Amino acid sequence: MTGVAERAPTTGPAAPPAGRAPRSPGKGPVNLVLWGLTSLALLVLVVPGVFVVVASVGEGRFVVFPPRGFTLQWYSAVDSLLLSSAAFSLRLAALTTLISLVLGTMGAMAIVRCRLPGGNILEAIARSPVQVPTIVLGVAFLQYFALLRHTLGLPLLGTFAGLLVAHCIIAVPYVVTTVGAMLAMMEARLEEAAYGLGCGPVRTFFLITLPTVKPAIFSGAFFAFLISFEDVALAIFLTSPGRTTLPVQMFFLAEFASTPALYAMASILIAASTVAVLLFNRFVGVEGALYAGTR
Amino acid sequence: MALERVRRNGGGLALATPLLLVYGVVYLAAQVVFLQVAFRATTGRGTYDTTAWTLQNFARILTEPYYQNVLVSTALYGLYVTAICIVLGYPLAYLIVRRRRIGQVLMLVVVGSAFTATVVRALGWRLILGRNGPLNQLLAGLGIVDAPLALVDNLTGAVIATTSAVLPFMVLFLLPVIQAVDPQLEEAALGLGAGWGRAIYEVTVRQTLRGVLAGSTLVYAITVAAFTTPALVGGPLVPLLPIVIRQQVNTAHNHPLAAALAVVLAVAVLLFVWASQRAVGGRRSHAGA
Repeated sequence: MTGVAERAPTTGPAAPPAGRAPRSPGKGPVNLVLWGLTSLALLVLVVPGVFVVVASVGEGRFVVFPPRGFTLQWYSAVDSLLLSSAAFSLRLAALTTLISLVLGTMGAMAIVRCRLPGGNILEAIARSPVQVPTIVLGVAFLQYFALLRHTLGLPLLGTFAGLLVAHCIIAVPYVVTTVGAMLAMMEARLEEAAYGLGCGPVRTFFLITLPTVKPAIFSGAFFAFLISFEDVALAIFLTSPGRTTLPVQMFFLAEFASTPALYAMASILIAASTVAVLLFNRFVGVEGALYAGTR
Repeated sequence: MALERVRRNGGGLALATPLLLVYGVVYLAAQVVFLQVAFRATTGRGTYDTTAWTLQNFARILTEPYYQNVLVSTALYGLYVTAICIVLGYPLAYLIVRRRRIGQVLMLVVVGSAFTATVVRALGWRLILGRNGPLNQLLAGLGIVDAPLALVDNLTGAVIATTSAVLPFMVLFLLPVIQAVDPQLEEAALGLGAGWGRAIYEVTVRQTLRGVLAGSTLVYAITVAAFTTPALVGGPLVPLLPIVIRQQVNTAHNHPLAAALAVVLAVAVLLFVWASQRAVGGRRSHAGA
């Protein structure tokens, strides 16, 4: 295609039709518009995080702008309610990740490798929770769990177990999608070879399949953890204040009054997610993981 | 080989069983329970009449002015947010694709913001948009406004903050769409005498219109379903479906009406997701984005 961008001699900017355009719109109004809008977009993305951090280091007991003085005292003032809900959230997200990895990987194996009759339907069902608004799922689980408590005495409403089940259900689709996509890309021949050499299905899975789909397992785990750790719409219906997740506790606090300690906790989360994204990008690769499910 | 297939088919069922069990017993059952609640009459705090069916909840939503207003403002709010996301997201995605080096940095900003807890970013917006917040101070300082603007606890705040929350989805959706356009076509257009603006428009924008449409429908669906951001920045009284659903559950304790509102929301969202998949011409889940 070298002939297309013909290297015609420059006739000056006054005569654009005949002149050779630069390889990129380095200057000019188009570039100005592109970068202007992009800067605005970046501002809209970055600015909330920046102000959270700024608010967390002001000296006043109330968050004011511009903040007066500089202090880190609010970081030690993060109260036990927030800390215990952070522990609650971490435990919940870790268990959600573990369970949805097992369920999702098994499901993806069944769908992609075993050509299960009705596999399409299974796949559609396994992916569907992502497409139902979380708030709708929250209402649905609330009513179902209330019914279960009423009729069978099952303690799923307002408990850790109930929220864990709900989180697994919204996390599984991400695992099925990432692991399924990688399984579909990877040839079954290696597995066939292992079978041929006398490996059982379990041994084949651990020796051949698992090592090959490891990147997909990592990104599935990352998304599962994130989905659980960041959820508000489910937990707000399925737990009660005082014994709930960190984002919901922060949500309640923010609805009442925003204290500098709340912003300190939020800043810690910003730092944590920044580190997580950088590590994830370094070891798994953000772009590859994000587009694993699209074929 | 046939023997192998049979053995592995049995294995397939065994592999799928745990997932089927959890999804069947909890997820699908919950959908059924919640759907039938939408067709019951409320009898007080979270209870309902299980002996008769009714359409009264849906009738209320469609006829009472309050709920009509909720439906209309939710739809408009989705449109505003989506429109701003196209205007801001397309140039950003374009630069990520076409400027390799700086693009990587831009990409990390987009992903980093997408992976920051929604609550945290909503907290940030509450600060920025507050009566005495930095934005109002800036506007007053520049002499643009005399009195501080009300930007929080209303639809304006919800639109601004939700735009920030869903913009990464738009960008991440547009990246592969723009990537599919050969950059040399733009150069060809330039060679044929088009200016840069015209080259980008005639070649890239026109070829990606379908993708933009698909991305927009998806972003629209995510926007109208969003809860955390509009709830915190728009406030508890903002007339948006997800916020009204929570209010019906937690404050009014009218579970049938909440379920009916949720059905309306779910149907609308599923329609938009379906339309988005149709527009992109294949199956494309938004998983991972």
